[in-house]
Amino acid sequence: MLEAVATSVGALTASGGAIYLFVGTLVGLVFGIIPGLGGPTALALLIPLTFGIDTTAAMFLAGGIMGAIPFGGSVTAILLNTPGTAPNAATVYDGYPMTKKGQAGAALGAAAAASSLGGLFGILILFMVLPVAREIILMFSPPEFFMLAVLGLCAIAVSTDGKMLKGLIAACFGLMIAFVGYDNVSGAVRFDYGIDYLWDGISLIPALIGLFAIAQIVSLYLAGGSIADNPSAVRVSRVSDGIFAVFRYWKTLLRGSVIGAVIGAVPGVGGTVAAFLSYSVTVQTSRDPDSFGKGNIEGVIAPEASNNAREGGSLIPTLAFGIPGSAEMAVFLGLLVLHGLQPGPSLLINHLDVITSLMLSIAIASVLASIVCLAVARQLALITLVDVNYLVPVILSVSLVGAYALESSMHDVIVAVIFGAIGYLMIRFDYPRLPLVIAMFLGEVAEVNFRQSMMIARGDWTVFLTRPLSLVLFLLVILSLSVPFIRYLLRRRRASREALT
Amino acid sequence: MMKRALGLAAAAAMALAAGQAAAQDWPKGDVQLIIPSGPGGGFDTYARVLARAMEEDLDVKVVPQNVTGGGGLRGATVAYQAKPDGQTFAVFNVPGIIEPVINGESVAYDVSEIDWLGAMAFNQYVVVVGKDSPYDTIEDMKAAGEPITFTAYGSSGVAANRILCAEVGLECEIITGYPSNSEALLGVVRGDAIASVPPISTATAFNAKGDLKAILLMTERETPEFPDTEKAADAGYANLANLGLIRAFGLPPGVPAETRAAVQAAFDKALEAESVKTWAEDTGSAFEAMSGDELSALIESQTELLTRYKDVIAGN
Amino acid sequence: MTARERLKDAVPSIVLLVVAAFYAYTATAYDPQTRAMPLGVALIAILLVVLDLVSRGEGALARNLRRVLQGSGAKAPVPGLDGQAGQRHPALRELGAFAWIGGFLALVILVGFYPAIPIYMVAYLRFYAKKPLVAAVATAAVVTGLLYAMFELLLGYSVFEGLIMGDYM
Repeated sequence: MLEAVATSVGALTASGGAIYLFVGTLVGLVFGIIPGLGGPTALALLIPLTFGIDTTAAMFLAGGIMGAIPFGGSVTAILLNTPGTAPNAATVYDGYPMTKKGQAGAALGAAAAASSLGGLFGILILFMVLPVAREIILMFSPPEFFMLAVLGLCAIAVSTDGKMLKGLIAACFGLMIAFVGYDNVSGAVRFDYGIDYLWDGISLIPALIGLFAIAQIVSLYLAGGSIADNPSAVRVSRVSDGIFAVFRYWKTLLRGSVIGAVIGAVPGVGGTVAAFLSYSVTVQTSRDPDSFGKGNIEGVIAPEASNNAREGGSLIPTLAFGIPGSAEMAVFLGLLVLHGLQPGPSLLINHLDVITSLMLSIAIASVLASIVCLAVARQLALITLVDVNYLVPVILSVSLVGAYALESSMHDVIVAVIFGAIGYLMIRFDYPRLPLVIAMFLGEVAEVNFRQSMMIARGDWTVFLTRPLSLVLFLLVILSLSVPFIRYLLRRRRASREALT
Repeated sequence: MMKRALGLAAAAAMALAAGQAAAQDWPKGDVQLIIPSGPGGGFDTYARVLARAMEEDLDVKVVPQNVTGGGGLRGATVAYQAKPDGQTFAVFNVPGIIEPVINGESVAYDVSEIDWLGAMAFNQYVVVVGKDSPYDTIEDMKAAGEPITFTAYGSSGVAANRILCAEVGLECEIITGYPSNSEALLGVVRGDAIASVPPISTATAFNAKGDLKAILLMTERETPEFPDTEKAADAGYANLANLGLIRAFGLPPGVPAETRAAVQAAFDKALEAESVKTWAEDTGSAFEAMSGDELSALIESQTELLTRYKDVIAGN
Repeated sequence: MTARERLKDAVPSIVLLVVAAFYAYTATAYDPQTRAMPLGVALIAILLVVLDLVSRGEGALARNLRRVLQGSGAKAPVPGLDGQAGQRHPALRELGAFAWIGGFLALVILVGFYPAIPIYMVAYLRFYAKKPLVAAVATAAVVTGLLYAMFELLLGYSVFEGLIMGDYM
């Protein structure tokens, strides 16, 4: 292993390896920042460009992209209330309120530090876990996937923003949207209403672009002025405050990284759930849960740490069984195959240096991306002072191109605009958007794995409780649902005792 | 006389020029290659390998475009309805596009109208179980006295699975919903079910660590990856050796003959390319170039076969 | 609140109710395994929307529902993610915002991204935002140029070219 790492370091320093890594990082940042464009699109567009270069150089390029994308996506999430990539959706929750308060610099600093440290942790965890990767993957069967999805859905409870009923309604509609399209279990197409676009269901990314970017455009158009409510604070807010905050909240960082790496390793559930889980656990264990959603810096650290750590985690199923842990990994597998490598355990045996090169470059890129951005963070924060009339057409143009580039489909662009209207109406009528998004992400995973569990267990419901890991996850679900309630009771008891004395 | 000869020569020259003009008509710009499944899967990989090989000889790009949905039907529909100018062609999942037709579902394409260019491989199936499974043969399974569980991916996988069970007379329960063949195999390794029926090449790629045991090869061909496994014909189920997954390429109906010839020439040349051969060898992927006519014949025999199993495929 | 205002207030809920009911009705056509989850969720959605409608009233039941379920009136909107929540703008201005977006989308579909982006941006900045023509043109040129450089030149990826140019959706 160490030998392979040495080879990779050698390749990185020699023959322009570092240049590929740097280019990859820049591309990753740009693709992360533009809503709609994310890891899968960036890698897919780059595949043909890697034909001419050797496999190690291609790994530097791909690793640079994978390491930089998650942080790039947080920049727009924080500054413009628009997650650049899906997993950054959790970051808007506290990142944007910080921006409104004029603390964009600190938020960017925190996101950058959390991303780089999270990325490093993720790779470190991957190194440690690699010997038992197969065992870990084999522990997760459909009952565990289902429980994990339910655990992710519990994050809805903390994202309803004090509007529980409306949050639950939004979540139900999110699930209903998730069920549209081809049903993998029965082979039937559901709720397509004769529109062939819907055979594949409603694509998440265009929907996200609509719900956040376009809805935000409409809000900005109507509000006018500039994004920051408190312009004088923008110049005062210090990037270094954010960086130090990450060390102050090291527990949040560590927890986020572990959640990211572990959940990232579970195929199909992936990074977005990790980010939401990391966020909701942080809220639930915080002494001051009410401060979240209003610009608590921990709410930026938690999802961003897990976002970058997941890159390491999602390599686990790929290396252990040749199965993609995420959409991005699926494209990456394609890249490997086109370079004549068979994904799966044989990679570790025959091409260890290729993998160490990838891991090394992901780790370096997550740090590098943050440094690049920190260098311009103060200038970036000034965006929040710009007259929104300039921002509106720019964000709209870029978002729609992003929606198109995902699958080269104008239908996706139309979906983005439709969801823009839905997103705006949700703001207008006071329905929280995150429950809708979480449910859209998890609906299919939850349903498919529930039905598979039932088939495997021949209809025996206890399958979720008799398998040890599933039982643990079930208890976590119960715990996460009861924490707010227990807290409420404790607070009431304390209050009544205080009233007595 | 002289005049006539001159006339002929002129006519010939004009025809030649016209031919060249037509040949230069294609490609008019980047060529789209529609892939009816997501990036990373089998069809995607074959298509991208082909696209890369075609680009080597053309001045334009061959852009792979994943059109997912409906278990591959959306991609097939989009490809079939594409403008017939040779700028768009597609990889088709056969028998994936035949099954809904046989099941009597309404589809927006006519398989016999697709203008076939050829195919890159005919992947046949193998029955596998976990390496520690007590079952070594189909007969063992039949003797088990209880239904055998299978994991399956996609409509073609389920169909092959059902045909297997019907043909050998095995009571089966099929667990569907896996997102890929590899994940169906992972399901077998972790114990979701006893067995699975993946394409041989997928099973080979997955089995680098020997997690699986092959118990029946549904092919007549030599299979060095599973040298000791019994073949369907030897086990008395010769019919099973006809099933397979074809990586077929075709144009939408109505492409003008000259353009079509140019596309065909580029396609054939790509199949000969060194990069395709090296890729197949390096990754152990099945590669067996097939002409459009061979492909049409194979599709016809597959259709006949599947029609015979119509009720079985429908799960009755 | 007058009856008329209350009815107006309930319009979004009623729309959701209709959508959920239609969804549930569609689901009944599928076989039991396939429809179980969607139908169940749609029915829960209907129940929740009805609860939301009931909790809007002023009786004791409505008040208790609001307290337990944190319904519509339970908590004033917090500034934050949905910072503009509940903030009302004149309907005409809201329509105006969507008209610009819809117009841009239509233009993209017709002539493709590269011509549509500068046309829309200049038009928006000049005629809606009343910015100097130079600033409008410069902004449009920079954005279009950057997108073109990144996609066409760097990645060799062509974006939608418009129905007029013979591209298909």
